[in-house]
Amino acid sequence: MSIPLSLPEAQRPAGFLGRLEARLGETGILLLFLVPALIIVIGAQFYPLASSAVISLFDWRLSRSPTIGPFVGLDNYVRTFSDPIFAGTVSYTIIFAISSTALQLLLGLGIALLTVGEGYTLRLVRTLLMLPMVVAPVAVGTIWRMILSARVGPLNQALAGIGIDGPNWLGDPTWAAFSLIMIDAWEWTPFVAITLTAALTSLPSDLIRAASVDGAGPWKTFRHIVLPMLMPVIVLVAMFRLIEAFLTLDIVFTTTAGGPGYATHTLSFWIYQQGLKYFNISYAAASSWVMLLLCVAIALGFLAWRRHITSWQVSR
Amino acid sequence: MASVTLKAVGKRYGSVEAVRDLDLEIRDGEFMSLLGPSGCGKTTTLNMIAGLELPSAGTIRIGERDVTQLSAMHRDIAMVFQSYALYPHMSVERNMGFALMVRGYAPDEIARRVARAAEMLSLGEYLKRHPRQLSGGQRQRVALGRALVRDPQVFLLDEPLSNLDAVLRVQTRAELSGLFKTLGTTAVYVTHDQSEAMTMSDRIAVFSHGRLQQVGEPLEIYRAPANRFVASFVGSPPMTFLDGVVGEAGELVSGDLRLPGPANLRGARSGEAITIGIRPEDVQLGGGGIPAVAEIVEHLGSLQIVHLTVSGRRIVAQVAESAQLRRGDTIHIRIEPSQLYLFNAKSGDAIHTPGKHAGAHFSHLEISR
Amino acid sequence: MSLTMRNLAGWGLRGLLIALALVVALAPFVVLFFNSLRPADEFLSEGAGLIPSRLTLEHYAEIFDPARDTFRYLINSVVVTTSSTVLAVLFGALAAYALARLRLPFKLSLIIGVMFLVVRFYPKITVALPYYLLMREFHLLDTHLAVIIAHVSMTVPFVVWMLLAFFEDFPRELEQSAMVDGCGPIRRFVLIVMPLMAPALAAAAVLTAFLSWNEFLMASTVAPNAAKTLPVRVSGFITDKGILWGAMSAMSSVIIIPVALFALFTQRYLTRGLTAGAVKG
Repeated sequence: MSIPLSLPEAQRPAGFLGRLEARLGETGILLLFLVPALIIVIGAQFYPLASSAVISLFDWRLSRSPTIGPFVGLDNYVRTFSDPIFAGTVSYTIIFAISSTALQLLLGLGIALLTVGEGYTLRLVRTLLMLPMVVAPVAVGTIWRMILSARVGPLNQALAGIGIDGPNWLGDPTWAAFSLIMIDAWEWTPFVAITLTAALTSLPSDLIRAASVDGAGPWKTFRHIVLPMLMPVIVLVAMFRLIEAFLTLDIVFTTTAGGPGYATHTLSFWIYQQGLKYFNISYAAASSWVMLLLCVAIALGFLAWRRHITSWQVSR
Repeated sequence: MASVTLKAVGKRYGSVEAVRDLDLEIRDGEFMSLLGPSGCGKTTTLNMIAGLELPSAGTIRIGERDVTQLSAMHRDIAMVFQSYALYPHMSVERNMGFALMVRGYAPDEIARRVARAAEMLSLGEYLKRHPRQLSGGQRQRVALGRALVRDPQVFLLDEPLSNLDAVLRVQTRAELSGLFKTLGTTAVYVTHDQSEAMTMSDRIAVFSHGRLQQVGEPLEIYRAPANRFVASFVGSPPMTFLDGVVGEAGELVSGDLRLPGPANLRGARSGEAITIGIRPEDVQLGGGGIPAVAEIVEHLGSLQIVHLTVSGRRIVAQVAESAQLRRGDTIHIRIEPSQLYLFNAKSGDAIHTPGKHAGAHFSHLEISR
Repeated sequence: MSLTMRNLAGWGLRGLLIALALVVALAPFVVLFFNSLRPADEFLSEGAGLIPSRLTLEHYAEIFDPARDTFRYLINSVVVTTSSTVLAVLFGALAAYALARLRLPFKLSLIIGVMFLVVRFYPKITVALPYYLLMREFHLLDTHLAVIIAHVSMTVPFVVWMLLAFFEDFPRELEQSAMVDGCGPIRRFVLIVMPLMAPALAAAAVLTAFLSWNEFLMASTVAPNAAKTLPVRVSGFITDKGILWGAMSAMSSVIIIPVALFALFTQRYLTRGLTAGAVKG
């Protein structure tokens, strides 16, 4: 589509931009708009992903040689599935993700219900409660490591003050596993709270008023009206949180470094160790692809569940 | 200033045909209304003339140029949108000068043109304000001003008055009409309001379901509609329609109602199924006519709209207030046969119409009981 | 109980629970802050209470000691976060606009949509290693650019996803008017659409800034030294010889305080950014 020369000079769009637009046409320019984002995402995310898949099919251990080793097909995957530590890590990560997410949902919903409403104080409270989430997960790890330190940490000191002998929060395998879940929940509950607060305020108030006219008390209103209407959002949030919890890495790094032993190894952390500490590059690549497929499966499952739940919703 | 010619223009979206086989010529300097109900294709047609949408078929010329494939910015047209589409983050002044700025006009030329348009539309004191500080009527004028400043070959207006309240609408209608007569630029005006089209246009193009039904001067459309749809759409209160048959002696039969038919009917069409159309103002009150009972009387001040039952049929009549009819009154009515509109019952095409030169009559001022 | 007393009790319970939540949420920060002011020897003694016996700025002095490069890491973080935010919002807005306006064949827009969605849901670790190799090939290791590219690639999908709905809801007639006025896509985007999208863009920018500032994995993988960012520095305090508590507390405070203040000021945008997709959906 070029500019017809018969158009009076004054009517032609001016300048370099105008000529560029005329040369490429509307569709051409819009496609150009897409390019930077696509290049970066494909180049820095998908290409490495693909190359990771390729690497996983070879035997590459940086400790042995700087270049990629021989082709071994699905060997690394077989190794992954038969590695007991991998299995243990997967099961801990699943437990971790589910527990933390469940805790976040419960506490987040509670906090949302408690702090919903207008008014300066409530808004201030909501903002303050947001803090754990905006801080770098790495820093969160260091803070809690300090607090939960068995001997000198303030938590145990406070407990000692009231006569309780606090456990070794981070040193004992079971307690460490538990503590990590608590820390993650502490960090991310605000996310759930914020999202649910927004959802609560967007609920149509006439439904709730109708309920009270019908004689329903606060608990019944909540259980039969509010909660079902929140379900789609809750499911969505649960999905986000569950998958992100599944991917947890930063906190582990700075609290327990996966210890004691393998007690608090999450999948991401274990793969990180394999790849960047032990330099088993191919093995790490294979395991990380297994993890990726697991994540995708979880996400799809959630989306299907959500569609099922929203199918009965009346569209506004 | 230029003519706009559409030949065999069509537009389809997927399987839906919004506009079908449209041939329309808008003359240089003419004010043409595109009239029809929602979804009839008038806005689509306007968008195609503007270049906001490209036709699926056919060609469009503005003046001598074939603009069919050109996008909006190359067509030298200006448009006034239904919602005015003023840029919220710019002042009135910048809104009006925007198109000129984009095309690289010199700043003093822009200022000059903006000032001239502002004066034409009495916007001078609002130039520095932002759209959100203006009333609906003021915004509408800014939208107009924006188009005026462009000095285009064709003005396109998409229901510009529909967002104004009723009083303002009538007032602005007259102002707009005067403005365009002064400017003399070709204008294409989309509306669903038949009174707007009737009062403002040089010619009206009536659309229905994507097809052009008729093009003509307002009185022609009113008095010589091409089909039942056009007759039903133009005129307020709307025409009464009765299903019936042509009798042997050329009279019109609808149920128990018998009306004398127009002269040219005799013989040729006996037995044919027809639709009879009666304009309310053509119902004359007078002795010696058919008896009728006034069921509902609506008082408009200077007129009365009377819903009559005549031989089992409902007919709407418009009479002067001086007739002083009340609910339940029995009166006699007559309809001049040549004033009847007759349509083919199946196709809706007009068989007989009063014709554009039918004289106005004042018989509705006569009463006798 | 009369109605007012019941109300009071109700409020009292609510207030109590809220206070409890606040304590749980904020206490760790208070502890951290006090610890950063605590003299070094107090860390190991068991009798030390919650509040340090005396306040000292020695740890802050230590980390801000010019020999320690803390300023450099701070600047690295600032450079990386600012650049990533600007680029991510720019590229994301362009892409979201294009997606909203282009009428692509259904399959293609679905693919692109899924592509942008998926980036959130797989382990970054899968990408980290090959990305490192990629940066090594381009001789970009340990540069700001390496981290910036990584961050942008991670956040652009967020931005696109967030802004897409806004662009789709943008009034058509405004753009049509601009078209008639002579604006092609670029001018429409710059002169009309973007200025009116400012709040949404702000939300996207705030969200991206947070993600970039706090990001650890990619930054530590490709920028271990010269271009090191603050989060990576913090993790470096956990050495095999033992933990430098004082310095770590001070450093963590340095990371956290700007973020906390920023969060307090941009709370509205942050909320909008986080809930954009979730609640509408």
